Amino acid sequence: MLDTVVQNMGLLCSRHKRGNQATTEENDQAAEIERRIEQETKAEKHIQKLLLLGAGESGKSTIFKQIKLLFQTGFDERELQSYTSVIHANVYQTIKILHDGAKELGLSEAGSSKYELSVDNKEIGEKLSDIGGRLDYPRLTEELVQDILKVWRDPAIQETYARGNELQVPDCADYFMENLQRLSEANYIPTKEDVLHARVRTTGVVETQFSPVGENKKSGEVYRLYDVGGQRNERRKWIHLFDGVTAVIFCAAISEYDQTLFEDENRNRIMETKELFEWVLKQKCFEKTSFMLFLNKFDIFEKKVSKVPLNVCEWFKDYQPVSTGKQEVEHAYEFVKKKFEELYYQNVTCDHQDRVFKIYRTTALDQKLVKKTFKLVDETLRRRNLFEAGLL
Amino acid sequence: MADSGSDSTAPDKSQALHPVYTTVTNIQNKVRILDGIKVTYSSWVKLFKLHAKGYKVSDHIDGTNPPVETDPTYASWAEIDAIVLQWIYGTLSDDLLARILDTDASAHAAWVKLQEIFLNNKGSRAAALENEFTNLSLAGCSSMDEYCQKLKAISEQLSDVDQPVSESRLVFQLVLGLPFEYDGVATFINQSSPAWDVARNMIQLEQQRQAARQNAPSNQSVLMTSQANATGTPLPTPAASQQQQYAGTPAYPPRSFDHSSQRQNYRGRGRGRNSFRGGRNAGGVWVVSYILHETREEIMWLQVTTRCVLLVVASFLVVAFFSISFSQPLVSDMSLNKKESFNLKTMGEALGIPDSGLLSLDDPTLDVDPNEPLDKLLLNKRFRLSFMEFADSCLAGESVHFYNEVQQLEKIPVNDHVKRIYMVRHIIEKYISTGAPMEVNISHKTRQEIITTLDLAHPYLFRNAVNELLQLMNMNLAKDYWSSIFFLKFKEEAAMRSVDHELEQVNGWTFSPRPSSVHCPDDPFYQDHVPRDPPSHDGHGSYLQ
Repeated sequence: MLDTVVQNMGLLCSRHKRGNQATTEENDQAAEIERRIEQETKAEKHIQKLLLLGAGESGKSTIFKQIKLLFQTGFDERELQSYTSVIHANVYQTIKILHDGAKELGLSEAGSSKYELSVDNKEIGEKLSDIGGRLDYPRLTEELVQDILKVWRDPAIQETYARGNELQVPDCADYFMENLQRLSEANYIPTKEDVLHARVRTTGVVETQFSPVGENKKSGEVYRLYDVGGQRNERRKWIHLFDGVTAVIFCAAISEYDQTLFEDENRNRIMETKELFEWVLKQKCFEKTSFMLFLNKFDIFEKKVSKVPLNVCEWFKDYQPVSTGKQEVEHAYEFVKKKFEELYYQNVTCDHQDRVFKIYRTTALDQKLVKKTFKLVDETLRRRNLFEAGLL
Repeated sequence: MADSGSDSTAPDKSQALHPVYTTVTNIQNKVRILDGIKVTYSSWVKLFKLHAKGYKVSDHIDGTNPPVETDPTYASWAEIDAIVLQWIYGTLSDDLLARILDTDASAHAAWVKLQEIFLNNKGSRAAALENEFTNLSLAGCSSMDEYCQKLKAISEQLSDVDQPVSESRLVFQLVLGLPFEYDGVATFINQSSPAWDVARNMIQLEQQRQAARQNAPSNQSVLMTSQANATGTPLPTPAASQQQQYAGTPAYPPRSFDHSSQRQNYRGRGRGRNSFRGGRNAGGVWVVSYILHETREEIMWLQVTTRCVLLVVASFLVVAFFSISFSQPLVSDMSLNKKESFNLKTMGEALGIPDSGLLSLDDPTLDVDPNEPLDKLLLNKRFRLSFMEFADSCLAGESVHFYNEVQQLEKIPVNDHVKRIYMVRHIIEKYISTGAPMEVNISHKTRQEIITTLDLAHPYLFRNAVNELLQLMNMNLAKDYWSSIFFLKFKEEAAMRSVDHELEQVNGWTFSPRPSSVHCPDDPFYQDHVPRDPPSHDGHGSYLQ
């Protein structure tokens, strides 16, 4: 677009040299430029701006990756390969966190040998922890995998892992440990699944453009999606994206009710999410913005609820479990959902009465679920556009 | 010292010529015109007495009985008395002169008459002055100088009407009338209850400091507001404003010895300590006093005065020195030595770390191989700046800026503790502490480790943080950099610079997912490291000219 403008301007200049009988022509040219600029802005207007917001590790980037897989070209082999080092780094970091965590727990609970590694594994643990603290990790080899597995299976490490909520163990730990053998293969190429699990802290802003094409092959709306970092220091950058947003996709990892922030270990993650959501709702520029709340990481939530009571979190302290099993999970989820719903309506003033608010239960790793969710989001937003245009 | 000189040098009136006759110059230069407003009666009296003492005629005004008319010295006494009377008349405002003028009167009579004029109706005058005194505040005055002078003047007028104001009350009132910006120094003054001059000096220093802070470029202000919004919690602003100071300006204005103000002080010396305009001129006064003291040894009163001044000023300077150096020894040091530090953009430059400024033409170029580890690549300055520009463009620049400044810290020799600590403190305040203007994305543990450290000069203080951030850059930013316009530009430049190097064909550039459209005028990470055009990507490196 800019190129055409420049070209046209070049034409203008050269014509000007020829004489001024070309004035009308010039005017035509100028009008053409005007028209094109207008066209471009119109096209720009058709692009809907979506923001992925949420605290750190709430699954924003996973959603972002899913979009790439679902509505774009996906990952080619080169891109998949580039994730190998990330995945290996995740493994080393996990072991380091667990090893150092076991040491710390052993110190704080003196007298208890629960967190003491067995004699054989101690040395291996030290070695792996040392690698984990380095900058460039070696590629996983069969030998290293054996070492890692030894340490990982050590009762002390398992005991520490059980208290992983107090450490900053990434959610992917379990998954990668289970697949360790595969990861170390010489011709290992990460699978889609592996890439989705890989944990990378996002910094700054990442954007992509996509269009969820429906089954009937009618091209849908064009969306431009922005992914951001979620840690406190990253949030100050969000404000630069807040203008003209169609919808905010707010990710809340509901499984994190017993965890603390990566950037502040004295702060419960759900409490932070609660305040963050409130803050986002109150933003002036979001008066007409739709809100899609993704209650994410339902898979982990499901497993956790039966083990860790929901009321360990201050916000959920009035929760009363009713039964067990699947029913209990549903009950707990409904409770959390209600809490977020209440929070939303508490923070809505009469200015934003006509904005859309939807809550979705998601697991960002689940491709089908994310696809379905985005179809729904797309539908909601299109309906909303028609409504605004007065057609509905 | 006063008594050592008085006996030996006191001239016999009958033999030597009385000093009154020796140097009768324009009296108004020495004793200011008394008008009751600008020059209060009490200060006029002080000046006049000083003058009279210097010319050995104090007995003409203090009521000492004159010699009887038959005395042989009477004639010369009467002559001198007339001269003193002239002095009095010469230093009165016109309307006062009209009330006093009387050719037959002695100097003492005129003195007493004047006293009556000023010290009558004491009660009502005292009440009015008292009221004025308690209600005076800095807000009601045009400047700090005026405020202090007014307070002092009123207190002097109060002592004229026999309602002397104690020094501690004066200091208390001085603090009372200050706005809240001075709360810190006010508390300190109230606790330590210093002398008037010391207190005044402290406040003026604080004022200068605040002025310097306001003048500092406010690069970070946008960030601060957006940050405040973003976290929804109030910020520890002191750290932030400190940061602004560091942005280039020294915390204190250059404390140069200004020659014109020196002269002013010299002339105004007789007016008392009020003319010392803060610590910055105290040094000048000290020098002048010292020279006078050494060169005019024959004049006794001058010796006495200069010695007093020397003492007072020296103690001034000591207090001033401590009040500055407690907080920021090096910054004030820098501002003394280098006026050009005002223009320095980074802490590194301010500390004179080599290689911290702009790119120079002979910086080595680098044939970048994306497969090399990022930490190796970042050691090259050209690459680092290109990477920094990229990171800034996608609002992730703080990590690279942090890395850059830590690299500069590494260049300071390990045994140069002062510089190192300054750089470390700067880095902590800018990148590490919670709510810092360019806070980096590091874990709680690493942050706590740095903040709670007892050894700021520790060589590996930032190692964990740097590692974490290199990981972050490596895993998150690097990939997008290779497919960005910034890397393209970097390659082009490298190719252009090395002549034998063939321009490489650039194939299959995927579009970087990093936004190129997020360019706000208030880019929070806008830094003057590279004088670049407003973010227009015209394909030419604008920072290599």
